[in-house]
Amino acid sequence: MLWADKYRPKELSSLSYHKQQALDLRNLTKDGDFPHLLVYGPLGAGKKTRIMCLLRELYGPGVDRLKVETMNFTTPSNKKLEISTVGSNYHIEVNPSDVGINDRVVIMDVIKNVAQSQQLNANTQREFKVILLTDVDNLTKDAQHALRRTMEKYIANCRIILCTTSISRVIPAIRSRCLCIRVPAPSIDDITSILTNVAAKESVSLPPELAKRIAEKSDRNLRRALLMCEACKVQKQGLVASQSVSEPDWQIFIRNIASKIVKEQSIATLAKIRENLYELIIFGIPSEIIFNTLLEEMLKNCDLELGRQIVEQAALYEHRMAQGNKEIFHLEAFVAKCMCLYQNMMQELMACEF
Amino acid sequence: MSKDIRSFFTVISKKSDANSPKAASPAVKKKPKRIIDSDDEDVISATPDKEQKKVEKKREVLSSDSDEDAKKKRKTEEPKLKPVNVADVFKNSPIKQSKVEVPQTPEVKPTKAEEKKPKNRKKKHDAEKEIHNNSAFNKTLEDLDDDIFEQSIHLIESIEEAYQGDKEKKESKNESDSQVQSAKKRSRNDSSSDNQTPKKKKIEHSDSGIDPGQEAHEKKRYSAMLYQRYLNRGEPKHLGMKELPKGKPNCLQNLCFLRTGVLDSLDSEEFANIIKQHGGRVVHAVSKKVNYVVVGAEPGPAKLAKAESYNIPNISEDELLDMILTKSGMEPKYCKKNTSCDSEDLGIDLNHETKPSKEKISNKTEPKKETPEKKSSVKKQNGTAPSKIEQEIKSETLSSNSFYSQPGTSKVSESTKIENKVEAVQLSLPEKYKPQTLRAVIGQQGDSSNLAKLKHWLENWYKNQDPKVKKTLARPSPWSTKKDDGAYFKCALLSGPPGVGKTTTATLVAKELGLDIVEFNASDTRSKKLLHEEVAQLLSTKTIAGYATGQPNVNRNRVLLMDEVDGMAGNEDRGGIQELIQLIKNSSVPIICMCNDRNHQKIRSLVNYCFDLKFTKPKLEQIRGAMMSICCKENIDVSTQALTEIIAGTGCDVRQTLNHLALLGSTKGEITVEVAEKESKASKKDTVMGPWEVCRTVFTKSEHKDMSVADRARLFFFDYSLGPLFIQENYLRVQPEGSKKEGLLKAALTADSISVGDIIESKIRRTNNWALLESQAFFSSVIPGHYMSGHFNSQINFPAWLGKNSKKNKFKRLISELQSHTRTSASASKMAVKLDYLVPLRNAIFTPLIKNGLEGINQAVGVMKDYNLLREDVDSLIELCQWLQGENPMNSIDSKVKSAFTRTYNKQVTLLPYAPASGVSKKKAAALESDLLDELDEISDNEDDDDISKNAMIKVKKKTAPKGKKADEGKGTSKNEKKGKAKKK
Repeated sequence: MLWADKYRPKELSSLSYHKQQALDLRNLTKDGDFPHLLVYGPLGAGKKTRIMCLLRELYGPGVDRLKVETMNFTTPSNKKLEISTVGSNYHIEVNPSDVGINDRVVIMDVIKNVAQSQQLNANTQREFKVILLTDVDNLTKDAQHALRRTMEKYIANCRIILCTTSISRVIPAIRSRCLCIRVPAPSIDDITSILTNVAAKESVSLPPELAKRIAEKSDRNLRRALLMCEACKVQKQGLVASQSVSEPDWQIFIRNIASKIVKEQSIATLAKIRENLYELIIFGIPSEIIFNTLLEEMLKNCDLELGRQIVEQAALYEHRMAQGNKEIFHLEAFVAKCMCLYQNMMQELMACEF
Repeated sequence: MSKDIRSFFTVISKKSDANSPKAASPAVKKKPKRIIDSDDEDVISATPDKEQKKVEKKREVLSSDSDEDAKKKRKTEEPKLKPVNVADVFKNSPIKQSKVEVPQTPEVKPTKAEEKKPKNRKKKHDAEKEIHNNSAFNKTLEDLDDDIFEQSIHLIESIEEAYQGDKEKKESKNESDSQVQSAKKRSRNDSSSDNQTPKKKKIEHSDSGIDPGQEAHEKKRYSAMLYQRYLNRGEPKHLGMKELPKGKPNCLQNLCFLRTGVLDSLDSEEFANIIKQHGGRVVHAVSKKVNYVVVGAEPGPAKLAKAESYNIPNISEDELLDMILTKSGMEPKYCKKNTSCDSEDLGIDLNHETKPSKEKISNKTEPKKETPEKKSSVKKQNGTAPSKIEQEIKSETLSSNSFYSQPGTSKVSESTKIENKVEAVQLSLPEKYKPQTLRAVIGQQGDSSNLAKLKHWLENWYKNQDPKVKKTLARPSPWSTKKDDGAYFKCALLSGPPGVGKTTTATLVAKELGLDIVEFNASDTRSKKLLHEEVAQLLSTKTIAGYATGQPNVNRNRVLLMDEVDGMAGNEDRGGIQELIQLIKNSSVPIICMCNDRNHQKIRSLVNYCFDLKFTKPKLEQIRGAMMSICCKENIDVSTQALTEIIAGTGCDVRQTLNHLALLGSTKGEITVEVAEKESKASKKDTVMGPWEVCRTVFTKSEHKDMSVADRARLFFFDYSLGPLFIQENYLRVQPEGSKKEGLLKAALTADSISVGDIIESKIRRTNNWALLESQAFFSSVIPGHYMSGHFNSQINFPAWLGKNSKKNKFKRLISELQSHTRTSASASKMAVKLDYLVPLRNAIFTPLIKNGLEGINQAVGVMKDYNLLREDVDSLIELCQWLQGENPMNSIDSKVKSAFTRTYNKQVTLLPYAPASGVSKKKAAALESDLLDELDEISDNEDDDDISKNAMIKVKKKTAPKGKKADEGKGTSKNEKKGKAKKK
């Protein structure tokens, strides 16, 4: 098993960073009850780990016996859909955005069913079940509105834990019904210490410089840091301070795109970049991430004024992308615009020189 | 030109009479010219009689000479310029005017006569012919003098001359300055005509005599001046002030016009239009083929000169308009209005009128019919002239035409009758002119035609379907290029667009072969049941006639016609096609099916059982020929051009063409090109552009430059779902106009616009706000087209987005599967799996295999077990990781190791927290279940079991499946628990 999963803490007490928060959570569940939670934070910050620890605290080790089930339901238009859920006897984890625009039906049908059914034997168990909804930021507005009433109505039977990376796309109505818990990304020092600990457990010597470098490269994503660290180990049969840390391939790929933009501004390049962008999209790299990475890479090559303009354009097109259907159109428009801006700047520079 | 004119004057002053005899002899040849010339003289009347007489004498002498002399070579040159000179000489009118109108007009006849006659008789022996003509003409003149004109009527030329003679007379009378008796004039005609020709000769000589250097200089100055004038020349004086005539569409047929100078009221376009409308032709360079030169103010002297050299008559605009009127049987009005128009104009008009008549006469097609009309019109035109003259003319014309006047009038009355009939045309032309014989089917002649094939197939049907023969026939492969006579098939399928004669062909062939037709078409219900019962019955019954005659096999002469098979649709005809196929399989009679769209989903199954005959649209010419004959029969007056328009408008649909003709024929007596164009435009089926075409039009400048914004927006609507994708895909392939630097900016603007278009589209789809579609048209199509307007560098591609999107969805599915499998051990969400897990996971599985070979297998399988991965998941893992590096780790693994790995994995009883391979097994289970249900259904159908038992059976079946599943799940969970416990320990 990969290190990232092997050394995942199972108890709130064994969490190695944000300890105060862990303590708070523990206190929250002390009396055996807690409100709806909205847990948010960047990728690899440990949201789910924390949630599972919390559930374990609540129900005991039974929550670790996970099983995957598929639930069937039919949309109003008689389309039969199924959604896979992961759950134990005490909780159920659903990602409603799996079914795209039909997520509202999931909320209305599936979750309501779970929420409505009462526990038979309240003595051995808590009197409520927990529904864990992931990727809430991808829920449609309809689904979120459908969730509002359910959250209130069935509070006796169930608690809902929402897990999301960004709170901005959760409607205020839901935010106000939940206790919002922000799980910030671990600091670089946190990551370094965790990496060292894991290496020690695996009885591999990890030079502190390398640990630091990995932590920095990992974008403060603990999962990524661990995976990178393991990859380093595999790469060189042990860890050396000087060895290079391989980044995720998609990141390199996007960097290449950015350098292409800077290198040559022409229609032909634009056509090539389109192919590259298609590649990224096909392999499921979320377009927001493409946008962000691309912008970051672009900004490395820009002076302040140009950077300001590019950021402005990026904001414009990312907004459009969120409104539209086809990401590639907006990404391409952004790239084209960047090229234009860059070309203009170069021309101005040339004009100044002469 | 001015120079020429001057030279003319010099000529006149110097050698008016002296040189005449020399030239006279060659010029004599053409009778018509002479006549005209004499006209001129009459008109002018300024020339002293003496002179004329003198010339006369000389001429006589010379003419006799000329007949013998071989001086004819000159002839071709001599006629040139003559008329002008004459006019100039005799008339003291301003030079220009004289050139424009008066002098050249006399040419009309000469050229015509000249051209026509040689053509008719082949130009080989010009000289001889002319001589002959001469003699003939002289003869006729004499005849005229002696009033024995009637006797020489059998000579067509003489008739022409007679007309001309008449006209001349009229003109002269119109002049009314000298009322000379007709007889005298005639006699003088000879002399005068001869007189003129010599003069011309002289002039020519004089021309050549001018000093060349001076000439060049003069020429230069003159041409410069001309060019200045040309630049300064204005628009038509009375542009659009005249009411344009609407004559018969063919009245100017076979005539060729050339315009020079600024016309009074027509600009060049209008001029071309009006001539084309009436069947004439407009050219821009002088050639021998030009029949008339229409001269306006400030004409181009070079053109005029050339025209003169070809003896092409010059006419004015008014004359042209009058020509149209008179030729279409109306009264000329333009010249009358013009007070400035002198009598000469009228005469010219008359000449023009007569010309076609002459033509017709010479063609001998329907001379009698035409001539009287002309005559009458001639008379009418002379209405202004004193009544005396009129009377004279009448008497003359009558006397000269008495021979054929009677039949002519009768013809006219006939034609009027016919016209009356036209109004009563029935509207069912398609029915009326339905082909009655095989030959009459348009576009189905020839041995390889569908008709012939069908006939052959039908003839040999019984022979081929004989069991013995049938065995020897192999089913032809659909890809074989060999000619197939369809012997194998029991059924023929005729397919093709509407109105090409499928039904007609089938019925005619059946009739020809003496087969009874049993027809089912879309108006009959053709459901499975009905077909089964009725048709089967019909085919098995025998006609009483058969019994009466004692023929044993009465079925033989029957054919089942299934018309409009593609109309077998909907609830009414459910199962019809299947039943039809059954019917075909078991049929004992030939079946002919017909449909429009052979590739239709419904027809496809039928095609396999049919002898496939595809009917294509007949060619436009084929239809036109048939239509012309029908129009002739129906007396619908339609020009070839108009008919072409109509046929093209209907898209070569014979039936529709006939319908149009019927409609047009009944409303108006004649169909002009305009009407036909309008009609065909209205009836034109909207052609649907494919997305490729749309895309090309959007970006190609040459194609969209004439389109309005609305038209461009309309392009978008040809396919508003695919169109934007095409445009997005291909806008980078366009080479936009303008500098290359701007190209990128334009591309950026385009991309921006496309991105807005996408937003609008998603708005449309999400909120069903289809009113926004027009806005999308602009952002997704019009604006990109505007920015990137240029031309395509490479071919237009099909939008990659569609393929990429489905690929994206596939990968999404793979990832979500992977994520759900790994979910229990890795807490990662989908995005995390994608971004971080894939490559490490793959490496974790494959590095041991690559490094350690067989020993690494256990380690690899261990990883798989840890993450609850299936063997399929490993494959998808590889696929998901392969996008950049392009290398497949499987390739570097020994095949032995690979198979060992798979075997080891399969051996291990993996305990999964989920139902393994849920997708596949479910489908299979579902299939099984449905099979069982089907069986049950069949059983119940066959045996009519009790409902209860059936239900019970089904219930049992249904129950078993879920039970099994539950059991599986139970197992899974229990094992899971064990696993969990193990882990804890």
